[in-house]
Amino acid sequence: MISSRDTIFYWWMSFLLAFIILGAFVVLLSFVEGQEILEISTHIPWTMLVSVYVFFVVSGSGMCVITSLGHVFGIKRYELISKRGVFFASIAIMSGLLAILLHLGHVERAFVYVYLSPNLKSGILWMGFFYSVYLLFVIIEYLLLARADMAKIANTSTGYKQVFYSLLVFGRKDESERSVHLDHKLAKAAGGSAFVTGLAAVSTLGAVFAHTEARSLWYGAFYPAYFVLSATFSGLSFFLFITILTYWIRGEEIGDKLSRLICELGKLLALMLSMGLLFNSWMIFSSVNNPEKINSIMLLINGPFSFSFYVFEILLGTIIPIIILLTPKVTHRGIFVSSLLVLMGLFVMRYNFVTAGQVLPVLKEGLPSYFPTFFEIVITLGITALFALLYTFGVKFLPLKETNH
Amino acid sequence: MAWEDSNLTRRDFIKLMGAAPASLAVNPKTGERRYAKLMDTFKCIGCRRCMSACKRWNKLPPYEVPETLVRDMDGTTYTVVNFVRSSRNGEIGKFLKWQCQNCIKPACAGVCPVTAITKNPVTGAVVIDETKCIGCRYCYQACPFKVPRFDFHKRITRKCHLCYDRIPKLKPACVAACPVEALDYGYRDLMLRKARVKAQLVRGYVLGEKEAGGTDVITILPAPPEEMGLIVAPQKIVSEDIDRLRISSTGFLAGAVLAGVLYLFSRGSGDKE
Repeated sequence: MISSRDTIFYWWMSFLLAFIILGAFVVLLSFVEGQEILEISTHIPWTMLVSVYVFFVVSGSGMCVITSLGHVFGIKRYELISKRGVFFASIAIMSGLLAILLHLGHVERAFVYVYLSPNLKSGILWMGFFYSVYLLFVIIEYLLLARADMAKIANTSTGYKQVFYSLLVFGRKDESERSVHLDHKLAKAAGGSAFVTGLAAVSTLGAVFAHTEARSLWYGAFYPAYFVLSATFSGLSFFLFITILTYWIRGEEIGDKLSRLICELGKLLALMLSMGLLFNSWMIFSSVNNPEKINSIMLLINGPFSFSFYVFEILLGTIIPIIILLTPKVTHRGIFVSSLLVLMGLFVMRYNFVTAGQVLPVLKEGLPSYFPTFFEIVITLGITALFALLYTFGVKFLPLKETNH
Repeated sequence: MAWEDSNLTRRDFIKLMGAAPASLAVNPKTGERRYAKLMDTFKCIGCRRCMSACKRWNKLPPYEVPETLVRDMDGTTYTVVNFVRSSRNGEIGKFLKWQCQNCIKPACAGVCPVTAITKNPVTGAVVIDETKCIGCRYCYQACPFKVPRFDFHKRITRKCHLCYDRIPKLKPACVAACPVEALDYGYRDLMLRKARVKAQLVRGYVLGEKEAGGTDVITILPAPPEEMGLIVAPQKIVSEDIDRLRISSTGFLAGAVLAGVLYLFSRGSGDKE
């Protein structure tokens, strides 16, 4: 007998799979028809897939900052969200890396020549390296954090379930306090390494853009630092959004401790957003006096991107969420809405950043089209669906729930 | 522009002849004289034989002429010839052959993650290894002239490589095909000297002498690039290693500051283990 909850689950999975299949179809089509179908202009060779990549990986590396507050910096109440946070970081990085690999012309060569003939002075090489290592660390960290719970399931189940969980814990099914303690120690080391590599990765990602002297919007010392800052609010808003949503959809009550922590994270999000706003304003005011930067910054503040810049990035993505989050008795609903707004604003911001950066100096008449192509939208939905699918699997089969340990 | 119009004195002329800096003329490591290509817009008649010669030698498909008649490079078109006018003096309209400028210190080679782009310091060719390119298009972003184009079917970035498989024994295909000697290929110091003399005579501009730290394609333009509607490259080496290191370090600094703030936050938050 299938319960109504299961029916919803199957519908949800079919829905996600449909988008993944559509996305995969577009990838195949790009091999037959040429990669041109994924470009709005030959002069803007980095578009949607790069924006999606930046959106996911920056959120993923920002999450390492939040989770590290728990078992790296030793604030006990933050340990509550470690498992979900670290799991979220790993799938966000995976989805982001998938986007950038699909964007490459020859993925297979990338894996060969980064070893055979690496250019150690190239930002992309280091970005790839740091993100790969970071992904490895967060996966190890998650497996360590969830080992005791998974060992418990392995010990109490039979058949495929037992094999599956035994594989995830690498056969270490010991549930004793000593082994849990060891897990925590190892997880702290893995978390510390993830913290360092995560920050290195996100700042190198900013540097990949900032190194290009020929692109006046991106060039300079601002973006590596801003990417580090924006990672914190990207990760936070994404995490708050999916955590609250998961509890609502599953019809579970948010525990007392988690509820307090969510409110605290909401306040932290408001703080980080305000800092981001400050950074952005400083960048704009310093650029309008700079003859090399003025034209490119004008694209955002008084050009084809200005509507999305003011409405999505500033108003919906920053100011309204800050106001909601700073109201004294903000509810979970308020936090949820503001994190959703921040996410929307962030997506537009990444897209604007990547696309607007490439308008000058070639496209003097401006963009041929602000909107991404149909196929780009489909492939983006495919990647987002894959992210949602991984997360659904995680919620269904892996220990993510906020419980005290 | 006639000889009489020029303000070139005999003294200037002698100065020009000896002005080619030794550092640009000679490869400091091997002591060999380096080569460069010269394009003279004052001689070009716009026949576009260079475009077809390039296509033939590199076995590229034919070019589809756009409706606007402004030709642009693409994944299979390494060079284009367009009629350009100076904004300062609308009368001066010339045919301009445009291609990769083969910078002496190419920014594209510096950022390529898999070292697919190499610079030959003697022949001047900046070559993309088509079997190595991973198609990330970072070279296009880094290029100060915005030249490398993505070939959507081969899924790699391609551009003029100065016919590296011909030079220096044979001249590049375009140079060999030019019927009016508007193109030339030879020692860079000689090419530069020739360009300077001509530019002085016609009150033109030598593109490639200082742009992006100097390029191995030198073009004699009727006016500076900003007046010709061309992309203006800075007159220095673009995306130098030290500059990129400076930019990267700010990110690491920001990360370190964040780590410090989190540490202080954890100290002050009161529920440490």
